[in-house]
Amino acid sequence: MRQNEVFLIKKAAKGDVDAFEMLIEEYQKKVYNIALGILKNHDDANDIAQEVFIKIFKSIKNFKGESSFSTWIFRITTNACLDEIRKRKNNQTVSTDENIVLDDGEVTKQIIDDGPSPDEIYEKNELKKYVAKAISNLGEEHRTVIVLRDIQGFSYDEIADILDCPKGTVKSRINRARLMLKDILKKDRELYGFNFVK
Amino acid sequence: MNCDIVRENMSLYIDNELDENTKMQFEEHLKTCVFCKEDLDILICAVDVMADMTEELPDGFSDRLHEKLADVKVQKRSFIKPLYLKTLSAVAAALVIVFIARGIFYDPAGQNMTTSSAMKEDAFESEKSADDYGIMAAKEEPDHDAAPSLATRSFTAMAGANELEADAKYLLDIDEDITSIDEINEVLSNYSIAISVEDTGDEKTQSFIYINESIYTDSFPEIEKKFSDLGYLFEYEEPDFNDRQRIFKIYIKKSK
Repeated sequence: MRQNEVFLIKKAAKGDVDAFEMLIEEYQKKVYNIALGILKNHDDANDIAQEVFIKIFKSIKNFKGESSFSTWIFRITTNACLDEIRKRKNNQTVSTDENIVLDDGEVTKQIIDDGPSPDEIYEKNELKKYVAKAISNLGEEHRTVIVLRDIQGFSYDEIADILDCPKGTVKSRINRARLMLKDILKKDRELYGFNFVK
Repeated sequence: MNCDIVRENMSLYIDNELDENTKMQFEEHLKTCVFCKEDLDILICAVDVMADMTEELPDGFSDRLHEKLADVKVQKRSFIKPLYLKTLSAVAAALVIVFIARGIFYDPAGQNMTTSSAMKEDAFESEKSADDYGIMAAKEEPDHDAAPSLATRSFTAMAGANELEADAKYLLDIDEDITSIDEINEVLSNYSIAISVEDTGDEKTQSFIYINESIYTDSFPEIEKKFSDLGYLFEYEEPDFNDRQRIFKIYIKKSK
């Protein structure tokens, strides 16, 4: 663990908000995006991400350093999201807003980054919506590994640590999740007429 | 390599996790099988798209979080408010712990505490007594906005006038398998300590207690013995004397 991180954790454990904010700065976006991927809508992701950081702040004094700090954060995040889904299933209040709506801001960003033609931008954004919709049709277990592996780019080892399960399980779960995703995309392809082959 | 095995290895191939030999067989198969090739192409494209699906934080995310964090801090530090117990939402699983210091608060703990409503009444009783004696006490309100697991650590009482005057900070751990809080309170009431638990939730509950250690530590061996007779473990850890905050840890759990 980085020395600075140890120092900030100690300060945060004593209730230092500034230290805590410095500590979590680099994780905010990731936590939000994990929540968004698993919970499938912006409002819920926003709420849960905030709750996750409050929870971490309140329990940081219990952080024993058994895993890395980042793994600990992402584990709390995925557990909080999956708990939320379970809670809702019990209460039968599943959100009807299931599709991830991508920000329009992405368009401008891509012009600067890649310089593709307007048609390509349109197509890429449509493809994103289409893939996002397919992800949202996966069960939460498979959606979680897809979010961690393909959207967040965690390694198999990191995912095994976050989910606290063997690497072999992670590998087979990711494979199953991707194959399911592929099946959904393939089935819908005729409807939307996308061409996946580059 | 047949189609089934190719399917099994597709994900590992995309992530370049196959050994050289398997990778070669995999690629050989793709040269002759248009179906597997098509599936792979779809997946590679999807993986490529997903890598670029990260979104920016919502506007004001950090500011809103900052306010909430400051609130948490204020709750921890607001020792001037009178001791009281907020009625907990029936939905929110919450733990309520009340420590009442012997000789400072009027002691309601020896009285009937068999139901949760009785516990609440007793807690209000101690609010009055805290006011009567002009003693300042600390509270940490249950966080109603948070998930149930967040609401578990919800309440602390302090016998000193403020954090600095308290000798030590007590970290109380109550195991989730404790079912009869009445039994525990019966023991603790002799020492003017009361714990009330409404619902332990699904996580181990913890709370910080600020008290003058001299009031309690002398009684600990005796309390420990009484709990052990009832089949509970009452353990405590001495604080590190180099630590300015001096944290005592108390554990109450069912003996295995």
